[in-house]
Amino acid sequence: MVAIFHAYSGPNAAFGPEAAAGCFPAEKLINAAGGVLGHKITCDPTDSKGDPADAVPAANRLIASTSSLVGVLGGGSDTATAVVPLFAQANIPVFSTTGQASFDHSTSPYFWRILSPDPAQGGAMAAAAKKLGLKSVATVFGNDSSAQGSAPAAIAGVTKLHLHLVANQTIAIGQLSYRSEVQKLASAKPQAIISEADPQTSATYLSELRQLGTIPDLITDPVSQEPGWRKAVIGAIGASNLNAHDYAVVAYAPLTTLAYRTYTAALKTIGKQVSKPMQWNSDLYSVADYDSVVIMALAMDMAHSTSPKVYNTFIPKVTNPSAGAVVVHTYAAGKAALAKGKRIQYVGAAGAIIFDRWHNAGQGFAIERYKNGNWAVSSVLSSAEIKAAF
Amino acid sequence: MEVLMSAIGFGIVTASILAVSSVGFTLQFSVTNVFNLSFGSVMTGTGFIAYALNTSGISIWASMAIGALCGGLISVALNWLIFGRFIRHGISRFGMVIVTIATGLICDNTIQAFVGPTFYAYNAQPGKAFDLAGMLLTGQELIIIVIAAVMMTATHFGLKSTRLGAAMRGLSVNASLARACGVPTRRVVAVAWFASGVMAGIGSVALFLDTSTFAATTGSQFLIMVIAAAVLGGVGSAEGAVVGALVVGLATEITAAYWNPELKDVVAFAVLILVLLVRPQGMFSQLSSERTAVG
Repeated sequence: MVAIFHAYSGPNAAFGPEAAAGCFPAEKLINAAGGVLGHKITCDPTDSKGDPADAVPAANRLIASTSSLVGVLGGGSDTATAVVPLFAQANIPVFSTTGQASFDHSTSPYFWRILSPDPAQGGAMAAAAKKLGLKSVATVFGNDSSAQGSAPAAIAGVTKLHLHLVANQTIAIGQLSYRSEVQKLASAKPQAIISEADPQTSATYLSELRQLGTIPDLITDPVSQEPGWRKAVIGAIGASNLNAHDYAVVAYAPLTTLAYRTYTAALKTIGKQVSKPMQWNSDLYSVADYDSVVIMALAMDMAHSTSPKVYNTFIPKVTNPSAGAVVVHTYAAGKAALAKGKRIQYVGAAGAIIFDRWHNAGQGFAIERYKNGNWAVSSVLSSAEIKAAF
Repeated sequence: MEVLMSAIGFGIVTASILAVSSVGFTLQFSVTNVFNLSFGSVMTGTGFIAYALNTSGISIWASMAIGALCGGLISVALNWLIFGRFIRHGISRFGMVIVTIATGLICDNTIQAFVGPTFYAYNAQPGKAFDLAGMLLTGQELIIIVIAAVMMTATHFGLKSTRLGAAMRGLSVNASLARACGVPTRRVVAVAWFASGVMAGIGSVALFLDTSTFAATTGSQFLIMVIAAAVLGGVGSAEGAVVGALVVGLATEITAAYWNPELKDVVAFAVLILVLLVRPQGMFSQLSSERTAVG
């Protein structure tokens, strides 16, 4: 069993369905290929509530009560610091989507991260502002751990790239009003706001900003691509305003590959487990969670063991390049190659996943706009452009 | 000066929203002595009823009024079906608090099961902004201030100048004596729950308009601010709740305008603690701590 250990309730309630949209397609494809060593994979949602106080007992309960637990998707930025050590102590591999910098040099053998860390995200947001030709920007970040992961790098990047930082606000999330903060920001007249905050906070803030008559361009992170965030902010400022001003800076993987097409084909069929599954089709967190489950399954096959303690060490062996390795894009292809005694490199729906010594991988970044009902890449940030922000 | 006036204006809007809910919370507590932590869930429930009406084409203000009436009925029903039964069984004050928390959790999760973990917004425009002595307020915010002022005035006169108000005040001071004097306790308690629910309904729609979007847990999320205003003014005192809401509203906005917006809650709650250090019963409360719950 693979646990989807994310928030299904509370302010980050979208994290659970988002991860489920990665797990269930993988479950379907793995089981269709005969399962892992004769075992069926099952995805099991567990509500972390997005709060360490609730997540820790939930994680302990999960570990104590589930002998078939082979891996965990989870520990987002809201709970990772609290729960990753618990799963690691129980020798369970955790594929986390946290962006926290504290995991950049994680020494836990059971921690794995596919997506880029928050500081890289923050730097990319600053680089995007430069790429868009902006001269003056403001930064507005929520004071939660999720947003604060990328805030320092974004602010430092703005300075490093010689942009004029006209306002820098850290706002308390979940407030009834941000009118005073909004008025200060509006009087600074930024061309754009580099921002990350939860849906409710963003909606309230931007709605009050709109009341002052103008909305600058928004440079946001992947949170702004989540349906819950968009629904909240569209309710506050309208779809046309949001689509006209929002530039989402997201980890970039070309979503045209065989692995991605395989993922989306399976995603379409999981309506029973995930409501409106195709809303997640271009969500890189969902894509990364899909890859995570496939990687776990392939590592088990390669290790000839479903024991988490045993297969954990095989994880980089199925993803990182090695001499003579066959590149595979699906679980079925990987399983077949392993059965023939070949080495493999899984290049997944999120692209090539190459773990470093701290079990971190990462992608490039792109600026995406929402057009005609879909997110589309408007420009790709080169590694030189991102590097300049650090 | 311009910044100060803006902050005061914004503080008044925040206070107006908090005041309606805080008075509803504290009015019911003063009569029944039930510290009702499911109040936030009643707010959420009525907010969603108003949403259903609003999205079916009814204006937001009519939706608020109908939603508020439904809030009153929900509140009465909760007392009739749950709280009153526990009180008649002689539950302790602490036990009653736990029952209200459990009720709130049941309500929140039931609402979430129906509406999902997503966000909703009323179909209402904030309207043109007006500059009033340096305070830039939208038409919607001005209406909310007026509604709050009318509600507070009506509550004040209702409590001070009517037989029902006298009965409520009597119950709040000494329930046994009031009963012995012929006060129809059950009826007065039901009216208190109804009024509390109505104010929860009005407060929730005002709150959800202010935050622009809302979800299944938004009401409970803001309950702490409602309670803070009520406690600051003195739990059980309607006037105190209004003053408490003003202090919380102004403290948060002035902190955001002049200092660090991240610390607006810190300042608001520091003021709360300082006031309670000087006056542990709050600014206006005269309730005895020996009272028992009335169902």
